[in-house]
Amino acid sequence: MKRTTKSMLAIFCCGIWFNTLPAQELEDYVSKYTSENGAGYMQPLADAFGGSLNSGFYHGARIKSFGFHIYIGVETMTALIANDQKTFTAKTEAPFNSAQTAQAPTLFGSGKGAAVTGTGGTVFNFPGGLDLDKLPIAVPQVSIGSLLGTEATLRFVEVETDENIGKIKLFGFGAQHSLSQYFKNFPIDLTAGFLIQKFEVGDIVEANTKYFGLQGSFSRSILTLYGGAGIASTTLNIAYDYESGAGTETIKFDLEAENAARFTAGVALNLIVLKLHADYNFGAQNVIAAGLGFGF
Amino acid sequence: MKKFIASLPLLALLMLTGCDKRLFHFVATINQSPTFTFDSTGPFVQRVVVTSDVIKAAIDVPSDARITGVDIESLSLRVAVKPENRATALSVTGVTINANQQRKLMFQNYTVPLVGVNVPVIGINALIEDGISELRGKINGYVQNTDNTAFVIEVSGNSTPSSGQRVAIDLNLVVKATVKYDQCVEVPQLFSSGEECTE
Repeated sequence: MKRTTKSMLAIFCCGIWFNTLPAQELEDYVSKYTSENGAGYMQPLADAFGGSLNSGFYHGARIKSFGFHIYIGVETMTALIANDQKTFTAKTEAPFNSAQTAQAPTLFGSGKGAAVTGTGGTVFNFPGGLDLDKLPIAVPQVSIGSLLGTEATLRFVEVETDENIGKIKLFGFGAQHSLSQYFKNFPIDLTAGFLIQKFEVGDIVEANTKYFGLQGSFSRSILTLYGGAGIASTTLNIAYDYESGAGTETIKFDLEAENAARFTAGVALNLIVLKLHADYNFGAQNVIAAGLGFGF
Repeated sequence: MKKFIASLPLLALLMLTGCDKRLFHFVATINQSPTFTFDSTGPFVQRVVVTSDVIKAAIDVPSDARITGVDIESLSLRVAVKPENRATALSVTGVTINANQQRKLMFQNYTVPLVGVNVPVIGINALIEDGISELRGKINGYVQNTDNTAFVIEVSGNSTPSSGQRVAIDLNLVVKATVKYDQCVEVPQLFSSGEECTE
């Protein structure tokens, strides 16, 4: 279970927050739940993490047909945790009697848990959450182009942790292809793009995200206004061995994020080689993305 | 260029530095399952002594945590029936006995089927508050270091519906309790929307 806990920490922020909240504590948050409640407890994590990873991919749609250019930067994506992501309908787990439901905090919910009373003064405690309003992550991103109006994008992080967690890896690749190059005097730049990412924590956590969409931008001097619409999906699979006094059982959560349609609006500043951008991503999971990088 | 690329994850880390202590509420689970072995004809009774050391060894709470309470979540029975057993069901009673020999009922004449049952544990759904309260108080005293005197759990009973049949079983009384505790933990300021730590 401790492996799982550390994995949760690793999920938060793609390895940025791990080792901050000690493993023991988060273990005590999640160890209370087995499969069904656990899925409800952690679903907002899949939504927020998936929504974030599927953001910050592009900050413009101007791609020349040919010519070398490169961008190297850091993308930060902050998922905004809505109130309805902070509670879920939890069920008491057997052998607690009698079976009841309660509105309990999710992983992002109130720090104070919920409790229901059963026969003979027994009490079922639903654990509290981390009381978070936002979940930021940051990843390095490199974009290289262009060939036939196509630019490739890579995201890559690999961190070796201790033997309990193993490697934390994020690999993503994507591309944007200019559509506006096929039209003369098209008023804005237009691209079609995709980004596919895989995030792994040892053999415990595997998250896969996919984003496909259309992007448009309009540039004047150093300013670029950009936006887009796309379809995104995320799966988050977590499996671990839970050691209780009654023995060891394997707990699995297969979560899918509710972030299908996504829309983006943002602004970028191109200060010679310094590039800054910020955008807001609308969807089932709202995300603010901002990036800083260098490119030419 | 390589140095720059290598420094990017570090840059990302630096963006989130700056820590703040926040108060977190945690719930730890204790599972205890003392074993009662019965091989007798007619009424049976067995006792198990529970010590504070056993309970303390079963919990995993950080040393700087402040325990705020203990709850009993459930009592259940796990039965392993031996070939010599002839009883089809049991009627069992469980009590706590403290150092002053005070007996508190946790459950009474609870029927436990021994045949045709294929469940790992049988939840006891008719618990008695008197004994559960005593059990909670003892465990709470142990984890908060306010009580270190041992107590006894006694399980007794007979075969049912026909009494006097040979009972040959191993019976585990599975006690599931939760320990609630608070702890101040350092988290990055970006995350710190929780309660302030007053320590």
